[in-house]
Amino acid sequence: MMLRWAAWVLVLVPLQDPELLRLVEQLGHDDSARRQQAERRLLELGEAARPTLERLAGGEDIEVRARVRSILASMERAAVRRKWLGPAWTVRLPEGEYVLGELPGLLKKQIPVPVEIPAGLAGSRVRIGGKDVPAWEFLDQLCIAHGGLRLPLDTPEGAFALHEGKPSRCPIYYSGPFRVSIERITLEERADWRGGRMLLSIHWQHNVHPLSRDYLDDDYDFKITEMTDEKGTLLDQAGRQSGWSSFTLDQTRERVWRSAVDIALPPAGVRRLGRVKGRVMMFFPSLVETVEFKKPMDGSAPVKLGDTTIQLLSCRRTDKGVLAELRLSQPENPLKENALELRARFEGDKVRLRGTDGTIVAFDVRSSSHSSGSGEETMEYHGFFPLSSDAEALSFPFIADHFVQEVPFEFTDVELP
Amino acid sequence: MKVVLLFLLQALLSVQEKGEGVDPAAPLRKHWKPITLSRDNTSAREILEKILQENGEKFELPDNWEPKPISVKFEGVTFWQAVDEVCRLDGNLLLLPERARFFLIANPAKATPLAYAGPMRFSIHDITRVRELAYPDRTDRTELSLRVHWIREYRPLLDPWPFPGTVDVARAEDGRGRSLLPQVTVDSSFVRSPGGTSDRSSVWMLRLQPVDRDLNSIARLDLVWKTPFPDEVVDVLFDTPTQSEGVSRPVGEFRLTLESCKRNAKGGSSLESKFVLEADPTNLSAAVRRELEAVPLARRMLQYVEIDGKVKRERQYFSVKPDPKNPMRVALSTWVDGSSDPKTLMVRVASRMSLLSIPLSFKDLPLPEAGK
Repeated sequence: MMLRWAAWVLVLVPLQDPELLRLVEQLGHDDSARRQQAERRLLELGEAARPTLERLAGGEDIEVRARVRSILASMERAAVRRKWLGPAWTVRLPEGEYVLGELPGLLKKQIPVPVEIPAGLAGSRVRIGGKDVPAWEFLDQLCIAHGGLRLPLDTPEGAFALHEGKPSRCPIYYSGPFRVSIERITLEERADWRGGRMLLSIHWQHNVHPLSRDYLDDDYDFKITEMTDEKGTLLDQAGRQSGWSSFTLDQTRERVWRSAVDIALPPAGVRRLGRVKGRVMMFFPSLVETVEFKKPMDGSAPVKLGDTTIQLLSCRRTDKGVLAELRLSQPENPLKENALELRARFEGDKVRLRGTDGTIVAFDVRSSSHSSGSGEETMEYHGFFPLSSDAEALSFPFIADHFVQEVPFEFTDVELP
Repeated sequence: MKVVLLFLLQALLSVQEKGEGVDPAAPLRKHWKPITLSRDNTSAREILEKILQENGEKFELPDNWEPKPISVKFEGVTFWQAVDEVCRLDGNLLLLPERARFFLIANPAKATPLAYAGPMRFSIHDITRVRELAYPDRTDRTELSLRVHWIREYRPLLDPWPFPGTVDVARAEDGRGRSLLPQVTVDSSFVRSPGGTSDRSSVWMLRLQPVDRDLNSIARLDLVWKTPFPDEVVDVLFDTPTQSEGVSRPVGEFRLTLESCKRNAKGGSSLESKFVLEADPTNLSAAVRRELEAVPLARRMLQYVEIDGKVKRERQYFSVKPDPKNPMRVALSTWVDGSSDPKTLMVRVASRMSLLSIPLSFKDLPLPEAGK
């Protein structure tokens, strides 16, 4: 014990912060509860504790070193998450009556992207206020308080836009930077089928950057896990297929996904749902590598990124530009949990060709193919670059690693049609 | 003055009388063969097989069907009317038109609401009561799938693509005489689509106002099927099309010019042809001018391309760009898989075309039972 303490003192001499000293000492404590407490607090301190922890990561005490490395790894993961899954923005505004057109200025320091108000309504007044209210919730409250504003489905690039119209008043659940809502509830009765659907949406702030959901299994779609009536009695939430696919994720718009989830027709007499619980699974990149083939027309060696092999099969000039063929392959592992298909790691239209004159042109994909089986997944792209100069480098981003974020939702007291 | 008025009145009455007698489906008449057949106490299978054989149709008949002896007396009925009547009289035969194929199964006949127009058979094959909260609005409605099938010998124009015309609801009433119009407009995403179009069938979706839950039928539904009908079709042939840019051909009172025909310069496999279809308004006959008001120039080029004598049905794309400043000029493009150096290119243009408006009427459409 004395030796361990002596080692810490040597390492921590430059430290000034008494709390850090105490926490570091606790990392080697005999009581596991104290050790865990110290770990939690160091994680909370985050970047402020990093220099100390990095110094300790090379220390001699095996136990302390392992804990420190674990904390640093957690901090690294948190930093990656922050990069792709930014913090929830909140609004603090004293309760009062405001001129609508003045609100964007007042919110400027709290919401990093501008709030756009319809010009025709800028002069109208609204009573609103809130203390650390999530940005999405504040905007919904603003729409309802005003009565003539609505949040459109599409949010423009770099701004929150409010449109003129009836507020939706739909059931909404706020979860960090996300806003999950029920856009529509449909109940259908046919001679041979009875059932319903909920159209669910998830909006996210501009500092959230999920991966495209193409080519992921349906389990990563919206999922309702619990549905009750007003008395709390569990209802059968799984609807029979209505003849058209329920896996209909719409991700064609900016910062919103929508999906229609089949539900069973609620029993006779049920007019409201007490609770609807579920989750949305979202994928985020954690490591994006830039793949580059220099002097691509001279022939290039394959690039290896983790399990993935990327080959530039051909790159040749025509009288109109440059034709290129890319091949990506990776071992197929259907059992790997939360694995990303190759198609989700790479987008053909993000391939760029830089000319010797500095011109950068985009890949016009003319044909693509995807195949899997026999233990390998492959993709081939054939396309064209409208480049007149000689080709200097062909490059594109490739998602080398990713993480999964589960966004929960819970709606209460939902009116049925 | 009185004499003039009298003449005018007479003329109006004569037009009205003439109008009443005109069958709006008459132009379709040349595309179907009326069935005249009389049989007493004859096997339903024998009658059915004769009807199918005479019309060149091949339906799959069920092995487990025990046909009944029936009596029929068809006089100039359509193919579909005859088939449906045989099914009804037999009582244990059900026509299941599954898009492109037709099955007959041994099953108690179902009272499907039907209407006929020459080679076409219209059926209401599905009715749904829909309750919906599309926040913040209610969009409750009654959805009807209207399916149309056509005989082998006749293929309607799929215009507007991919539907064989449009269907207007002229009148829709519940059992209390309450109108179910106007039709309900819904968001275009995440709603049930009407279904597809195949070689032999298509489906429209009609969205009417909701029917009270204590009522169990739609008493009356009057529809108007509107379809562009080519009265005169011209096959326009261009020899060595890749070398015939700028060549024009007359198409009735119009003119079709091949502006360009070439393989995709960026390495694709398709042959891209650009045309201009135009008319000189000063030289148009009154009849063609009237027809253009009903079916504009932009709808005259039919979805048909032949390269080197072979019809291109797979992977053919058409694009039509009317000139906003000149309604008598339309730019058209087609992309088809084709040889790199075709010898001939043929497209089909309707030089004369009318818009048929054919009324269809349904009564007592049964609604699904409404839950409490």
